[in-house]
Amino acid sequence: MKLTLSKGRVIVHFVYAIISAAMLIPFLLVVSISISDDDLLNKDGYKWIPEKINLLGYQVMLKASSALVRAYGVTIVVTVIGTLLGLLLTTMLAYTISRRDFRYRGPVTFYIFFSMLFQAGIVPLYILMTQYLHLRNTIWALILPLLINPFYVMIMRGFLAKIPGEIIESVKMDGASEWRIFAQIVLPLSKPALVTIGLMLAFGYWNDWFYGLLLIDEQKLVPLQLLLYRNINAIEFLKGNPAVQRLGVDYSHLPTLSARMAMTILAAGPMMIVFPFFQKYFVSGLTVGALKE
Amino acid sequence: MNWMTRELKHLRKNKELILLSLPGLAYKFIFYYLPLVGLLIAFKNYRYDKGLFGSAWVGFEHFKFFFTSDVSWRVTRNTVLYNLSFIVLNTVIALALAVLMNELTKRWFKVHQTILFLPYFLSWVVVGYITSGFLDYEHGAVNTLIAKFGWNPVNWYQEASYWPFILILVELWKAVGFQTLVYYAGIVAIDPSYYEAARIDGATKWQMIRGITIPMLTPLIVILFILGVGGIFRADFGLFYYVPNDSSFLYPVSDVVDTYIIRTLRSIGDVGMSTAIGLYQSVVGLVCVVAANFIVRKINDENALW
Amino acid sequence: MMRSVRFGKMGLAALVALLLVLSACSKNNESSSNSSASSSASKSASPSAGSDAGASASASPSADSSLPPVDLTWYYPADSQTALGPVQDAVNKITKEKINATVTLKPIAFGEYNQRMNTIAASGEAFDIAWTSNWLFDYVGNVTKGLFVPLDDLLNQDAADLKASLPDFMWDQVKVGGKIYGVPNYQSVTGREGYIVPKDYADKYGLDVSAIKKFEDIEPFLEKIKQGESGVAPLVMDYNGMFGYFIHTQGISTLPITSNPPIGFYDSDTSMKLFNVYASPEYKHYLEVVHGWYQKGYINKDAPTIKTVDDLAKAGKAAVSYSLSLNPGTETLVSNNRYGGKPIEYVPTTGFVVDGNPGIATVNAIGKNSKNPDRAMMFLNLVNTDKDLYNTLVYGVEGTNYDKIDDKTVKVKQDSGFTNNAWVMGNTFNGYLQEGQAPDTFDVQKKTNEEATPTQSVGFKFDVSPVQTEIANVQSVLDEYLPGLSTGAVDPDKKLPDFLDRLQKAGIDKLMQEAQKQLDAWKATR
Repeated sequence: MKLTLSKGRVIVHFVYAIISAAMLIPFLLVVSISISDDDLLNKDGYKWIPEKINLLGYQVMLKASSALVRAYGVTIVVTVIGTLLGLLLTTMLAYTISRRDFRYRGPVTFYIFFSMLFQAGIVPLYILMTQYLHLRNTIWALILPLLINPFYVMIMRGFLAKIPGEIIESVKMDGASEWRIFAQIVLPLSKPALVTIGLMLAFGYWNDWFYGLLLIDEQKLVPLQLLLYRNINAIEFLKGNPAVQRLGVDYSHLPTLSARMAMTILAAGPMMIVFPFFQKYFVSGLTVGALKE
Repeated sequence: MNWMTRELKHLRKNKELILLSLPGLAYKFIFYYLPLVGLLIAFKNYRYDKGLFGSAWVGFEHFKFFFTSDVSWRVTRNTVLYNLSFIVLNTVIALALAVLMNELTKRWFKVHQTILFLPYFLSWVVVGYITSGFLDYEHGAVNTLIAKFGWNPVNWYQEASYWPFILILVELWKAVGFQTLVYYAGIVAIDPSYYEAARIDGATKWQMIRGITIPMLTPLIVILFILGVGGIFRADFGLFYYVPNDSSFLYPVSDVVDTYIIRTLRSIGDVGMSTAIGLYQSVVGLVCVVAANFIVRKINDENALW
Repeated sequence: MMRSVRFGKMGLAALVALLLVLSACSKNNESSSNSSASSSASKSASPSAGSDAGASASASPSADSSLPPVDLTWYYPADSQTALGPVQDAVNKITKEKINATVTLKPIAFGEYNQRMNTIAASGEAFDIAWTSNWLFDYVGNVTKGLFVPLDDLLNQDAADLKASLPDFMWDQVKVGGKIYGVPNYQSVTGREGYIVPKDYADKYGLDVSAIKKFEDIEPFLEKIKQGESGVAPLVMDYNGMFGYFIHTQGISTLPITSNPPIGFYDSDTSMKLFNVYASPEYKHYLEVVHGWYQKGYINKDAPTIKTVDDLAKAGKAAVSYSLSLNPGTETLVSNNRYGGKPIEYVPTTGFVVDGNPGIATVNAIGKNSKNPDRAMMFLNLVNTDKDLYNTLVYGVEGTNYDKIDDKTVKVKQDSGFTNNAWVMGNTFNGYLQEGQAPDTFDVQKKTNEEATPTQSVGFKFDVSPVQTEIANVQSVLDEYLPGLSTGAVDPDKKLPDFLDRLQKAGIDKLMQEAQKQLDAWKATR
């Protein structure tokens, strides 16, 4: 028994090693380009192992480090506030529709779900944010639009529905309010789910640039991904546009390919360091069942 | 009257739960349902100076261009087929990876999960660069490898037949980590006592996976499936635009509703026409979801979304 | 247990806090947006300008000191203006003194300009001035949708100098339905078709410029490069091909309805009878020549799938390229962008022409919802007549953003956090020259503008609204077939009939009829 189990485990580890390598190889290309010489890139194409290491890309990016550091700050603040707030609201909402004895479960579920299907487009949201809520150039412009994702509410509902009804029922018998049940029973029991949805929300905030593009004019509030987006897209737009050639735009000073890839690494990197930190909750989640006894 | 008092009683009984859901419902109302008014643009000849309500009605005029085009069938087919394959393959592979992940030692679990997630952080523009790193005619890794075997290089960006596989592979590469995470969280949440009992009964790992893990995950799978079906008519613009590098040779297999709309409307830039197609996509999604939910409910009421 | 309870309460507290912050923020913003929008507000919106406002306003000899102070907003496209503050202060110092107004500059990256401005326009947001054109944030479309104020009266009232400073044909070009809706930025308005050849290849392989009259005359030269060089594409194309770049060389004018215009008329035909250019014998001939070149390896293999020729040319993997705007004084810029600064030679196949609507290639217009259209007009007047103001807007602050080489010429500091394109802001002939440009550049450009031959349809603007469906469908067919055909990559015998058939189905005839109708009506008014 013990032997076959470990044999199986060896195979699993082996399979995973292969999959991870396959996932990683394309990523290495980005790293390689970021430390390559731009003239050689144009001449010889992208190489997995650069012939000549050139850190100019990183130097260029670090020269603009004050903007980079500020953008990090904005993104971190937005991610932390947005994730905590979004997680709370998502869980509250998901919990009510996970309760089979909630009378308005059906309509509320549909109300949430419907919002996944239709998209009003950006103009009405823009009007709402700028003319009614006056949130342009505030941190909330980056937080509020992504606060509750119906997709996450539905997944959360699926997790919460697993909490045995008897537990809730018995606490209710003791006269506990719904608030208490939510805070004392539901939240502690759904740690893995909270971490999962929290991570998704956090990644969503970390990766978003669109609302910044739309609603942020001030340099000091530009989030990281918007900075990245601008660095990567500015040159794509100008190069492919015949009218630009006609009028004459000097784009020879815009970031080179290696600089753009360096920026990509600098923007994604930290999340990769933070990620394993959260993973311990997954592992500790395994003991949730034991806690119940 | 009787009905109202009864309903009021229900309201009172559900008061706390209603309050609990209220912040979220209010948020959705302000940030989602109010802006929906904007969908009227699809039926209007929108003029900036007259505003939404002052502009003239044009009926279904804005929808016409899509349905009269001779490629509308092609882009519709592509969109639906890709989305279906993404739903199926993503589910199967993510599920398999999540189950396997559960067997990893703690240290390796962390390493592999982090790696699976890496591609999620790359924008599609960057993924486009990576793809060309593989498929570039002259310098791409694949053609270099092919040349080593003495075969003829392939002009990948001009050969449509390979691209369904390439696009699916790229999408899986980028998205599978996300779904694996969800399913893994689902597995972790399963009460260990089930496995304990099964082990005492002498069940094999495989039996436990089939008898416990999969059935316990079914509600989650169904949710993700129905959610996926709702987006069946919407395609990820970045994937289908940047990865095939907008190559016209690949349109027969790479052109989806979203890329088609953006490309064809770029010289007109009419907000009414793009809104109209967005609305059409939503309606199709709604119909599909309602149908999917209906079927799920027929099979097992417990798993239905509403 | 206690901890969990606290967490629940904390959640509530967080919510309450959120609501408080939200309302505080919104109040804050409201007041600031009010102050920038209202003209009667007595307070100055810009503190830096405010400090010297009193002194300079009273010192100003102009009658403008009687004007109430206002702050104007100006949206325009620009990349890398991260250190805008000092430039804006310098600009405001001038405008405060002259017209008692300050301006808030709102640069938006080129790649985001369409998205941002279309959203702003559709939302009805008030702005005073916005940059617009026929290739980015569409001028005519915006005018027909009622975004801008007509300027005819304002020009006479508040901007007589500006009105007089531009030649009449520029004002003609910005007219839509007989009215002026924007101030065109005067610059080089001509085009000239032809090849661009790096000097070293021209010398090495003995290029005879005078022998090249038609586009196919370059073939012997391409052949020599092919034989003499390895790993170099003699002619480099991107997915657009070069048919459209040699359209006048072939005696045809097209109407810019879609990208890669599908309909046109013969330059020699004064009745301007439109035809489908892709069904013309000229296109067939072009395809035969180019397909031959592609097969002989004269054209880069990836031509139908690349978006720009610059990377290949810069890497030295390609020689000859082409352009339809071989204007005087542009060699340095073209060489920097495309050939990494290597010396180049222009090989024109036409004379200078004025085609389409160069006057609306870059325009500044005043928004319908502007509270102070008259003041915005005064400001635009100043931008286009006051050289100090214009140069500050374009080049920034001397010493910080640029250094003077002599009276007329400057050297831009690339890393100073402020670069701008002269043609976005105003009349380029009021500006400094950049290092490397000949002292007489502007004189030559102006002279070229005046002497160039206009095509028959110059100034004609097509109203797309009756045929939007057909345009969308034609566009989609063009996108699918042109890259393969026009770069010579696919066999025209196989694909051209398909292509023409699909164009028919997409409704090109209806499009053509509508265009002919509008063109004839336009011609009758001339």
